[in-house]
Amino acid sequence: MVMQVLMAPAVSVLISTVLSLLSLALLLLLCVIRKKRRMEGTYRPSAEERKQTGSGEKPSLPLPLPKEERLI
Amino acid sequence: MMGFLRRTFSRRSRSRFQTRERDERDGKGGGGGGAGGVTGNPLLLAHQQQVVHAPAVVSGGAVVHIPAAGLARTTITCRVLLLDGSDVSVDLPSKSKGQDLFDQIMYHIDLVETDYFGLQYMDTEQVSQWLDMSKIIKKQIRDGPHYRLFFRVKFYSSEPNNLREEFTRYLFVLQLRQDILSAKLKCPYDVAVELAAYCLQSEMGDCDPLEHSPELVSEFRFTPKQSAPMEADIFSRWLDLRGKIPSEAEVLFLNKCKWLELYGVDMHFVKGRDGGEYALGLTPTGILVFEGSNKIGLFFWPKITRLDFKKSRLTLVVVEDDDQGREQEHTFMFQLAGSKICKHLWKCAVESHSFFRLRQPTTGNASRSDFTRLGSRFRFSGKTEYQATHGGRVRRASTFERRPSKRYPSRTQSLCKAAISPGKHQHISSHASPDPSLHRYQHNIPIGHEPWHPAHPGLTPPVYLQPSGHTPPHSFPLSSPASDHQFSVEDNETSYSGKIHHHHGCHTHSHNTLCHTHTRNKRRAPPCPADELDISQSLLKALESDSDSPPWPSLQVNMDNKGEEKQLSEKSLHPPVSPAMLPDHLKCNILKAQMEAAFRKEAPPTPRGKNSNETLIDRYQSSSQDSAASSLTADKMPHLQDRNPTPERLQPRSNTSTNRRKRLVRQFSFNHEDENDLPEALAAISSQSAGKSGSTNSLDTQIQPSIYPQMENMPALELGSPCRPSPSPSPHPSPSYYHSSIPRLAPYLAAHTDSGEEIRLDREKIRRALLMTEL
Repeated sequence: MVMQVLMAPAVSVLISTVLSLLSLALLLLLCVIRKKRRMEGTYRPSAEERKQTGSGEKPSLPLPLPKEERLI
Repeated sequence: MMGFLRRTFSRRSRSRFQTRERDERDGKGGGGGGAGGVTGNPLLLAHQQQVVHAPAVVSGGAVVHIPAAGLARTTITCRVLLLDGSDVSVDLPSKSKGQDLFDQIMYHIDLVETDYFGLQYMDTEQVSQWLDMSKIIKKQIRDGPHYRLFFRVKFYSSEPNNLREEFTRYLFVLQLRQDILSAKLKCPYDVAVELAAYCLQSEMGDCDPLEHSPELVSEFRFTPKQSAPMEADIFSRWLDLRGKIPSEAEVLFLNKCKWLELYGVDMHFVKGRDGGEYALGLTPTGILVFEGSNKIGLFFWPKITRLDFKKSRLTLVVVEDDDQGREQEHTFMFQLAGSKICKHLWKCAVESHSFFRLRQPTTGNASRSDFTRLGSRFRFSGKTEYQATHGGRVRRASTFERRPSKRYPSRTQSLCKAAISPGKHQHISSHASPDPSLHRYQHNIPIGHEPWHPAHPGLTPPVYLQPSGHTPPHSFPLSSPASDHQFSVEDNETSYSGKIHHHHGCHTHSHNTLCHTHTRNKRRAPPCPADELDISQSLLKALESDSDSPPWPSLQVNMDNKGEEKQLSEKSLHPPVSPAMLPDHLKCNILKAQMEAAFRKEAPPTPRGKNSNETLIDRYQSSSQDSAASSLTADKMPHLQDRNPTPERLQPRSNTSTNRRKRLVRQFSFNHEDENDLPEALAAISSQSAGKSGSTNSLDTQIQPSIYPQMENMPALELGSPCRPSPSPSPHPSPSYYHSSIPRLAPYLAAHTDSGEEIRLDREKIRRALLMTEL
């Protein structure tokens, strides 16, 4: 009984410290994310273009050549 | 971790501190001035800075205020400078977004094709940024309550013929003219000549060899390196463009301009990995790479697979087709001066690509969750060029006014200033009192004075100062040459008031040879439409004073030197002298000379001594008597003044209208730059009063005719009363006392002024002051 009573505040303290550490970590993470978002960026122009025009832009295979003419 | 927190948080606080510093610096230097873009970043050389805020090429812009705050409790005021020089200040609610401001401006100027334009501002780190339409203004422009924005062309249309409205094309032309003049857009010689010819055709109409000349061309500024042979070429090219209406000329202008190599190229200066200076230019087709100023590569947009930035580094991944037909990836890394600049370049590239290459803006791809993304989410939002040109309907024709270009002194003015040495008679003849211009200036006087009053005390008027309402916007001048000259004169006044040192301020009224004195003006000297003389003449005309030939026979002889005058002033702004007007004019000038000599506050600086001789000779034709003298000595002044009392007394008796006095007061009150140009002799005389009144404004009070006659109180009076609206004409009994003593004093002084004793100089001063009461 006494042990239980003594345990409770310790546990609560433990829980509070854990929570505070977590919140701090989260805060830090948020800072990192915000900083990264501000300082970094990526853009893929060709991908954007491809999305717009579908896949008809870049013919991977050249058109088949017409049949060779033969002399009569 | 602590270090990281410090870095993330302290950066903001540091930037806040820096903004306060920069506010002061910007307030002085950048302001709205043309060099706004050049101040700042020491990492880049001056020539590398994009001069984004070059001054407008046209004049006559108005100052407009748009209250659009509605019912908001807190408001912000944004000042936007338009391409035509107008300064629009918009009140908006604090939390308004960029789009709100943009809409207000678009509504004000009545522009429909808004997608090509944007608002630019200078951020805390001297990086010019485009205002993001979707974000709150306050969050973007973080320095202080002064929100100064510049309306500019953001995307230079690759095909100007696709611009639907004439007004849009006109704005493009204005922007391109600004770019060419500020050397942002380099132009080879013949292209520059042609573009200038188109501009002239648009503004002046058909070239008339009888009235227009290459000197007229020299009043305009088209390129930074404009030379006389170039102007002659422009003139001859202009002749070829006979019959083109302004809109046609502008279309031709744009079509010629679009082929320029650097047309529409958005330049950003970068450093390569090897440390060399490169530049990236964003174009509709791709990204140009310059090494120094040589183009070394172009990456087409379809070939660029990745465009990333991280802090200050920009990465470009390009696929190139190898000789064997295989694709090969190349990675280029560029270093920029700072993370802000880097991000700005990246954003510009993204927007540029989207605008020119896509059919619709990218719909936000939800491939990655927004919550945990790590990079910037920025994408172009707005209409692309495709949408702009293919969508929408053409609205019914709307009208707009073209503003006249800024004019500068023509070449002949600067040449004749160089050619004519001081003390020659020719000066006098060149300051002709043209009757037609007299008529014009009469019109100008009531308008012109008021705005210059406030401009005067401010010794450093901002570059964009445009006297509000001074010059009403001119509709396209397919007008007669007379009106051309008229607005050119007005333009001179307006442009000069802004651009030039305050000394110069009113002296656009000055004469040809006056140009010297305004050494601050690096460009050619003002054309000197002889405003001052004309004003005085007009006043005298109003005074209904008859030509008074007897007292100044010798002067008239000089005045009749029309031949020289014609030679000097080829422009028709200076029609030949009319002898009848001269004596009155002289009288007025003498009066003015007396007044100013008596109440000058500061001695003219010595370097101006020589120049001021000329100017004095110019201005005070009365001094033509002393034409040969290098300096107008004091003994001459009383000599002239001898003659003055009699005619002067006659004049006021005939007509004492307050109107005239008002005009005189007004004329003299803002012409008090003249005092700086008076020669040293007068300076010596008036140096007594120099210490008494410091501000130039006090001249206003000094010239009031109703000066009390007490000798010792006179200086005090000068300072005491600010501009009285209508000075009392009635002479006091005590003035009359002095009055009678004047003729006695005059010969006395004439004999002894050379001695330079203080007392006599004082008496002379008083005498002059009293002579003013004669008015």
